[in-house]
Amino acid sequence: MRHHLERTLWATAFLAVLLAPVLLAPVLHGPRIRNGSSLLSELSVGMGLLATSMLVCTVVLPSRLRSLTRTFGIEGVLGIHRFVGLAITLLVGLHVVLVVAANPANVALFDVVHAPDRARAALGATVALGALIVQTVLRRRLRHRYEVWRWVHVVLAAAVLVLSGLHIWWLNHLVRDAAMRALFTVLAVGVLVVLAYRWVWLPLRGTRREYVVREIRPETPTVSTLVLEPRRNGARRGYRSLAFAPGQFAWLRLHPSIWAQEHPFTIASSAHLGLWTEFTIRHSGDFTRQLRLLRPGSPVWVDGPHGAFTLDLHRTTGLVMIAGGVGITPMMSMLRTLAHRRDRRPHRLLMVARTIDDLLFRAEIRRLQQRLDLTVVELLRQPPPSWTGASGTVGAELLTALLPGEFRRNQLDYYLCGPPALVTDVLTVLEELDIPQPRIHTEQFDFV
Amino acid sequence: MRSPVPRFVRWAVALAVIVALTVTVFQYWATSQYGTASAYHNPQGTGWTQTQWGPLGPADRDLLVMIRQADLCGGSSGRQAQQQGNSVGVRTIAKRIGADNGDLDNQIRSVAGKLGVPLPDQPTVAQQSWLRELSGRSGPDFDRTFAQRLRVTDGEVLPVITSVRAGTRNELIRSFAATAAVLINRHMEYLERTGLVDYSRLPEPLPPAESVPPASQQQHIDQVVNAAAAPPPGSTGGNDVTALVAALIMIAALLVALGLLGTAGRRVRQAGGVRQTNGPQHRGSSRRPPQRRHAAQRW
Repeated sequence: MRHHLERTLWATAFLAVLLAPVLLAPVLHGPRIRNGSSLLSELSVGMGLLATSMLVCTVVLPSRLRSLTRTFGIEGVLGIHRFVGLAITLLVGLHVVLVVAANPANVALFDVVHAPDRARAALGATVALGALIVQTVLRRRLRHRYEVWRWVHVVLAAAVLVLSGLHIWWLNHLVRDAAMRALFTVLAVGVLVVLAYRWVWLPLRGTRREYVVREIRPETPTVSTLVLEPRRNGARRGYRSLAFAPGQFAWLRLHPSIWAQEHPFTIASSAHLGLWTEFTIRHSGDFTRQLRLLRPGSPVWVDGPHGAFTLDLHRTTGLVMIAGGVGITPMMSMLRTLAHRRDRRPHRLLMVARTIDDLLFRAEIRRLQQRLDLTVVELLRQPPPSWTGASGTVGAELLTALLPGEFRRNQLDYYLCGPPALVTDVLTVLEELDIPQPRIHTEQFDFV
Repeated sequence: MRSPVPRFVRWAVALAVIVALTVTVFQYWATSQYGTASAYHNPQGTGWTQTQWGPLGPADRDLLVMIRQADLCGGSSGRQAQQQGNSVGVRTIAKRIGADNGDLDNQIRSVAGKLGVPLPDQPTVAQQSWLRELSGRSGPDFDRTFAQRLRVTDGEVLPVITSVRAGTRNELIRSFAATAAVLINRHMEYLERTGLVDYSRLPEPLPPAESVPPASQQQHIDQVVNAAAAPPPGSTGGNDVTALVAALIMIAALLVALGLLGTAGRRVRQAGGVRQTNGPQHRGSSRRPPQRRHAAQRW
């Protein structure tokens, strides 16, 4: 119920921000149309206004508002962010074309040396926006480290935002009207509050979100589990552990600074474990290798929980969990939580891995089978000769055998986590089986 | 296959575009059809309204706008010249021009108020540009720039005033244009008397058949010229229709582009099934794709 309410509220807010300036401006700005202004000129104003509204939305989206990531999931939030960003680019392009089409003499505005400040600001914002889009589209071809890419992205986005604001201000056009000025002020204050939360409050709050490493438990030679507990001292006595829903994730950083690297990791432990929070991590990157080198007592700063990939947001008669490799971690959190809750519903787990050694938590899953109504299928893509279980790829035949009849399988919720190819293949099979789309949950994402 | 962009977002963006267009086009249509509060619609002409002083056409409105902007420009540069002018002569004529501009401003506000024509609050882009240029000058150089630039501006405005004065159907505009022409003529004389105007650098006069100012010289001149040549009441104007059709085509293209963007995510994902290493980074990846270092990791 709360999930639906949050979704409705965010959708309403999104529509309100998009439409308010667009609806308000022509009413207030109407008399100026009689001022010999052309239709193309008025349309250019409309497109510019819409682009401004969308800019506000696209700045707010990736600002780690937990309610937002819980409502749409991180995959959805970033998908909307990219979609709206591209829509802004189209609208800005149209805005520029209409400005020139309305009066060809406006080509003079492209002369950076002699153009007025408002035109310079607009040019700067447009160039920064173009660079932003190029950087995003070519993200895989640009051989930058992720951190470099991220900071360039942030700086370009800040340039677009500031220069767009200056363009509107120096244009001294719509802002002359008191109501429009008030609307722009509300939007600007809203954006500043969200940015302050993201870039000032969250890093500063890091001192209140400080955890320490309790232990690092090896699972395989390349995978280990990081166990964290809240730092407890005189000043922070009684500080509670991280409250999360099973399947959610959190950003971890090793320093309380906005410049510090941080990466998202799924919480693997039960939501009812008490003070401890566990993250199972494959140490294959620079940051994850640093995590493995941590000692008990080392501080770690946690920003979370985030995400909508959780069983707590949906009513279902049972879960079907399909995990590839370390994608088992959110499933482990769900299974451990379900065991704590003494859940009696039938659940199914399909574990996909390359080799037997890549199948994680096999012993614990067998123990969980004794506490839960859990059917487990293990599938190896490169099985040894002695392997008698499933092998190859996840096909309709395998899933049909795992799932109940057509009516009952449509009442189940499906959680997919693993390599992109696996998730795509499984989505295709589920589509073939006519599983209702709202029942399928993935959180495969790309932060860049 | 699912798209990462919720359906409501795609609908909301498309709805916002359609609303923005509809409201703008409707508002424009409503205002251009019904015009000012005191006028009624003339069904035979686009942009023409009837007032108690006779029909008011686009050229009449543009004239008010253009003179207002020239007045703002002249007033601003005049005030500057009164303070920064190097010679006594320039400071004196700047004072006179300033006084005239004050009178002209009162008249134009009065006329525009009676005819219900809103006025701009800023000079044109070109005028603002040379006002900035003027701010950077000093001494004799300031005087020369002031005299030359203001003379060019007045020279551009005058033919438009006389053109509208000759053809307007509106009594109030006719009377105002006559007054404005006198004032502008007087300003040109003041400026020429300083001896600082370089006539060889003034725009060349066009042959009688083409005796309209070039469109590139000033932001609104082309509008005024077009409007001055616009069909009188009783004929139909096609410019707005053309603009509307062009706008609608662009908007349709925009909506199609948005639709394509909405499906882009799906296409990428479908492609990801074939090219495993190009897929997005994933916390569940069992092996590290070559691009992984570019992305945040969530394993």
